[in-house]
Order: sequence, then C-alpha cells, then structure tokens
Amino acid sequence: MRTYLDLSIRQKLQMIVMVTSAVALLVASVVFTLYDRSTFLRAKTQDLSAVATMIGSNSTAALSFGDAKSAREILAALRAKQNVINACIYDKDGGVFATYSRDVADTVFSPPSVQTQATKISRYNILLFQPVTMNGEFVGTILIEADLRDLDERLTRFLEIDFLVLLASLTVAFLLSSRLQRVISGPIQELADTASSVSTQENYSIRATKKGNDEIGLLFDQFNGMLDRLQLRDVALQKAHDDLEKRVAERTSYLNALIQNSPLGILVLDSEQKVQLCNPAFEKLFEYTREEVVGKSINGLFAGVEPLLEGHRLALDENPINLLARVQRKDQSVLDVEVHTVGLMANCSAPWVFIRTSPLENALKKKCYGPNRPPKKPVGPRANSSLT
Amino acid sequence: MKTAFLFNFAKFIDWPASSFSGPQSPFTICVLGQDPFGNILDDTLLGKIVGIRPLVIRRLKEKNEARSCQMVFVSPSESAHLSEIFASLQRANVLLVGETTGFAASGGTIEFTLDDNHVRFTINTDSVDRSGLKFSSKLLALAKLVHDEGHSKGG
Repeated sequence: MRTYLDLSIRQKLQMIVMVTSAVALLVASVVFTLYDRSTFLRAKTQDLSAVATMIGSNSTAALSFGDAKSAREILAALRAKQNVINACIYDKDGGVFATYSRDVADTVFSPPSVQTQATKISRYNILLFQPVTMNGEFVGTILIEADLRDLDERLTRFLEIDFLVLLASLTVAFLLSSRLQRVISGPIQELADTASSVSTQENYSIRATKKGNDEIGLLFDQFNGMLDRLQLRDVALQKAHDDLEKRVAERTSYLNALIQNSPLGILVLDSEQKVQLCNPAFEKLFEYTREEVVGKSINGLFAGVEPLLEGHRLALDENPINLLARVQRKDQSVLDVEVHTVGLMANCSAPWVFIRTSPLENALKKKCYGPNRPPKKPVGPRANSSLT
Repeated sequence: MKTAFLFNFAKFIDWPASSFSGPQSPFTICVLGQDPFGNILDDTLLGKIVGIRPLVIRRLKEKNEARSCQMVFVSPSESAHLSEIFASLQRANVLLVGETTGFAASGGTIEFTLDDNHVRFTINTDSVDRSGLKFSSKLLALAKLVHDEGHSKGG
C-alpha cells in the first residue's frame, strides 16, 4: 500500500483505469461465458430430446413386436450424431431392449436402471431419459448419453477469445487513459511545480494558470488567492520590518546620546552580568577605559567592595535596587557610590541590568563606614577569576 | 405372443371407415376354423380398445361370415381352402393373418414365422395393396416382405 501511495497521480489514475477495465471485462466475460454455457446446454438438451423423440417414434413398432434387432438398427442411426456415446431402449417394464455404443471397441455399455423423463448433466456428459409413447400409450423409454466435448471446445475457444479481447481492450484502455488522464494529472502536476518553485525561489509573485472550472480550477483559484495574500503579507512584513529597524536605529541613537552624555556613570549588563556598555561618565569616575570594562563581570569590577553589594551581587533581577556601596577604582582607591539597578526585561530569561552610579557626599561616607576598613575579598569563583 | 401381435397389428394398420358398420361399431378379430389359441385370445385381448373401438373376438366356421371382420386369423385347419378364402376376402378391407407355411406367398397378408425362437412375420405387399388397408412403414420395416408367388417378378 505504501508503494501504491507513493506513485504519482498519473500512475495512480492509469492504474485505476486499468484495474477497473480489467475487472469489468473479467466480470463481463465470466457472466457471458456462464450464460453461453447454459444456453448451449439447453440447446444441446433440446437437440438430444428431439433425437430421442425421433428414435422413440421409429422404434414403437419394434418395441410392440419385441423386435430388438430392428431396434438396434434404428439406434445405429445415432452414428450420425458424433457426440452421442451410448444409447439404450428400455421396454415398458424397464428391461434393456436394445443398446448402442459409439465406440464398439469400448467396454460393453451397461445401461443404468431406467428412469422417467430426466436430464442429468455432469462434468463430461449429459444423460437424457425420455419415455416412448404411441397414441398416448407408454411403450418404453429411451436413454441417450452424449459427451460434452463440444462444450469444452466451445468454452476453451471462449476463454481464448476472452483473453484476446482482454488484452486488446486493456491495450486500448492503456493508450486512451494515458492520454485522457492528462486532463486531471496535468493541472495537478503544474500546480505542484508552481508550488515547489514558489517554495524554492521564495517568490510569491508566481501564479498558476488554471485550465477549467472544476475542483482543480477551484484549487488553482485558492492557491493563487493564497499566494496573493502571502505576497501582500510579505510586502507588509518587509515594510514593518524596515520601519521597525528604522525606529530601533532612531531609538538606539537617542538612547546612546542620553547614555553617552549623562553625568552619571552608567553600566549595562547582560544576563550573565557582564558589562555590555559603559558611558564616558563611568570611565571618568572609575578611571577605567571602555576596553577594560566591556565584557568583564560586574563582580570582578567591583571586587573588594565593602559590604555594599553584599547579598545583592547575584540578586540582580527586575526589581530595582538602591543602595550605597564602597567600590574600588582602577587605582585601588576607594570610592563610595550610590548604586541604582534597574532590570531591563527584554525577556524573562535575560535580565538586563542598568547600573547608575554617582559619588556620595564625603560626610555621609565617613559617617557610615569609616576610612580604614580593609576591603573584603569578593565571594564566588567567577568573581575571583575575572578579578586576577 | 401371437395374440399380442394380433392386437399390435391393429395399432400399426389403418382400416378405412367404410369397413366398419358405424362410428361406434367394434373392432372385430375373427378366428376362422379351429381356434389354436384357446382361452389365451380372450384372456389377452378382451376389454382392449383399438382407437375408440372396443375389441371383439368371434370364432367362425364359414368364410362368408368373415367379410364383417377387420382381421381374420386363418387357422392351420383351413390350409386346404386358403385360395378360396383369399378369393372371397380379397378387396374386402380384411386383414388376413395365418401361420401356415407359405400363407403370405400364396396371397395372405401376414404370416407368422419363427426365427430363432422369436416370433416374426412376413407381409405380402401385393395382398396389402389388394386389401385397401394402410400399413405403417414401421410395421413393414419389421417384416420380411414377399410378393404373390409366381407374380413376384412381374410386380
């Protein structure tokens, strides 16, 4: 079944036509042959019955006068009927009166016991019993046994002819169907070709040309309509995309301008808390250059921070954090800053962190932390490695 | 056996209507001379019907009474008078049956013979022509056919 499903429409159509034709022809042949067989047997039976009637009529006197020799002579006329194998005349008491066998050399014909009017058809022969009457008076019975060789010959001839007709018809059906199936398979093939070229070239301006207004024509219309909509959508999508890019570019330059010109130090972290961006104010404040900062872990940068970011280092999420922190500059000098973090949720898995720093008042710094406390080592393996 | 044959002859031979006195009158089988059959004739044939006519059996002494019969069985006892009997019953629509040797050849219609213990019969076709009776060809086919003695060559 799999292989059948994989055949092309053209082959399927052809196969359907051929199978249908073959089955129809077979059914017709079988029915016709059976009909012919029954007709032939009926004609044969009638013929034998007529022969039996004639023989019976001729043998009434022989039967009446018990003249078996004459009866045999009458039966001998059956030699003209080549298919009669055996024949027998029974007297009115059912005794065998006279017999006839076509093949004298054969074993002696032993007639079956007499029966009233009956026809028995077996595979190879036909048995016919027929009463003989004279002026309405029953005087005996005739049995004629004929072979069915002519029926066999006829059936064989029929089968031969059937076979030839089948071959010829299937050939014609094949030739016709291989032309006619194009009406259906042609448009479908064209549609398939069009669809695949649309798909491979991503060209939505290609259109299929429909041939008629049948279901395939409808399919063409729908296909073309779908392509129309796809094309519109493609154009709209492209336009939206262009617009969006333009807007993003605008927005980015706007933001860049804001960030670059802000007096506050600004860091942008990615989801792994690595620095993506820093502004000139940050560079100035911490005395790092941009190249030294970008790509580094925030924890590494702010290592040795007294306890300012403690407990918050890894808890950078979308909740804003405001805290005071003591951080080291590049030259190891300590600076107290106010840190604000804001989560930039582009999507859930990648929080972007926005860190704004500004220097604190000296008074507050002294009051809160004291000047001489040594900086603590940062915690966490990542922070460690990135620091050294 | 012969009695049954007598009855069967009646079935294969047509008598003209004029040979009967009326449409309902019986079919008469007569035995001329000494009856060789005895009761068998009556036992076998009594009550039988030929066509629509009942069958009647008569036993005759005189040949002149035989003109009203359809079939006459001439007893061997009359063999001495055959030529007179034939002369008187010629062209009288009477079937002459006998079993005397030479019965048919001398002018009788049907003569019983014995052939290998089977009863057969000989028919004189000249006598058939003279009698005005119509014989079935099937009956003729079973019989040995002869002509009148001495006239056979001339036909």
